Amino acid sequence: MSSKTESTLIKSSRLAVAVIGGYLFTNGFIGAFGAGLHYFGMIKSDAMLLALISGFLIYLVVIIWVISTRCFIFTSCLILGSSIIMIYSAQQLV
Amino acid sequence: MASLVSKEFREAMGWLHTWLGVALGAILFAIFWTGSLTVFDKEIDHWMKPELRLAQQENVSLDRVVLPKLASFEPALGSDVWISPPRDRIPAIRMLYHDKNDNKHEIMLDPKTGEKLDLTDSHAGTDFFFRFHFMLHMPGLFGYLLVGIAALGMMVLVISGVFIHRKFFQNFFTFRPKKNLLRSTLDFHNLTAIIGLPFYFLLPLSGLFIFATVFFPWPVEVNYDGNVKSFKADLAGYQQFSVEPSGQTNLYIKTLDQLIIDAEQIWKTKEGQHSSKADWVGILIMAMRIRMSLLNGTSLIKMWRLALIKSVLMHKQVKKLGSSPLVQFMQH
Repeated sequence: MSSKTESTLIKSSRLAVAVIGGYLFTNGFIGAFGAGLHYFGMIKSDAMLLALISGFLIYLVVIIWVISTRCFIFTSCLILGSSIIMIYSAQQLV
Repeated sequence: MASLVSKEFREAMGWLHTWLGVALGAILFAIFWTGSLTVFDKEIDHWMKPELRLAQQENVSLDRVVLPKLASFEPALGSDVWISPPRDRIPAIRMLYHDKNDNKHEIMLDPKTGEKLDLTDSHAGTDFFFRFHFMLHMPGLFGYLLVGIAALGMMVLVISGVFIHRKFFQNFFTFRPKKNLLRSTLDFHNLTAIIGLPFYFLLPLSGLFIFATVFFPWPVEVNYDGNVKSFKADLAGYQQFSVEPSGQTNLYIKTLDQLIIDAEQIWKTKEGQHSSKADWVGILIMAMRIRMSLLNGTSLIKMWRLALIKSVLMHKQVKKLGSSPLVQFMQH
């Protein structure tokens, strides 16, 4: 991101996608990762706790990524698309 | 040393670090300040509520002191009763319960007589500073969410702050007090930030762990048929450490002391056994418990014991009390 030339609108969009898109992504990740770990044999409560704990770090990485990426549109689509896939997978896995 | 990241990335991190710092600085200061005071919350309670300055009682019999009181309180009780025996920093018996309208109450009992203590009307440490630290005394979940956002923001601040610097090590350990004021304060900021860096990252992270289900209820609900309480009970190991009742189906529990003896016995048999939990998950859980034990001034071993006793008590009460309003919560 070139912070000097980028418009306020783009910066706001980056923030919005980072916070809201990141939240959706993390929800999907925790749901799918927790369900997946349990599916592959981990105790359910451990799987969910590990997924929740990892979720905060994932959220952090997504925020940093979206704020700093050069291809903002592509990254946004990737984040939102994978969120939908993971949310759907989480519902299917349980 | 050359920069490890691109100029664009550094600029983005600089922008994020500056504006997030401005937006969250004040709220983070308030949270950290009240958090530091919370370490001494019991002592602040003793100072502001002199009635709590009681002599330490050894081996208090809950049967003698608490059980008769429990029966007299029973009409006012809704569900979810917690009883904490006297401890080093809380020499009174602490009882938490919900009334019929699901309002939470906390009372303190004299460990000698079982009489309810008429405490000075003050929020003091545990009611003011402690609660402010994680929910800002705001209605509903608003305060929790605000603190959660601030905590996540703090983590972003730490990471972005690291990547701003073109020359990592040189910048981090440089302090020029005789340069102009802006330069000196910025150097000081860098230096103090790097000294406490792991703590500044782990403090908000461990805080977020504690309320993880508040911030991310959906994934837990999906995995636990919409019941977050079920996940918490599962996590606390109520099933893992439960004991079978002795066959009585009395409506009221006869002896709390015996339950504690049973729990201690189970603790002894479980002591030293390898947990079924995966090791690396166990380490993360342990990190959370260390934080909790530091806050409560309780040793880790004691924490485990208390958790175990609590789980055994809950399980036996559920079985023995049946549908008594005393412990309806425990059936969830």
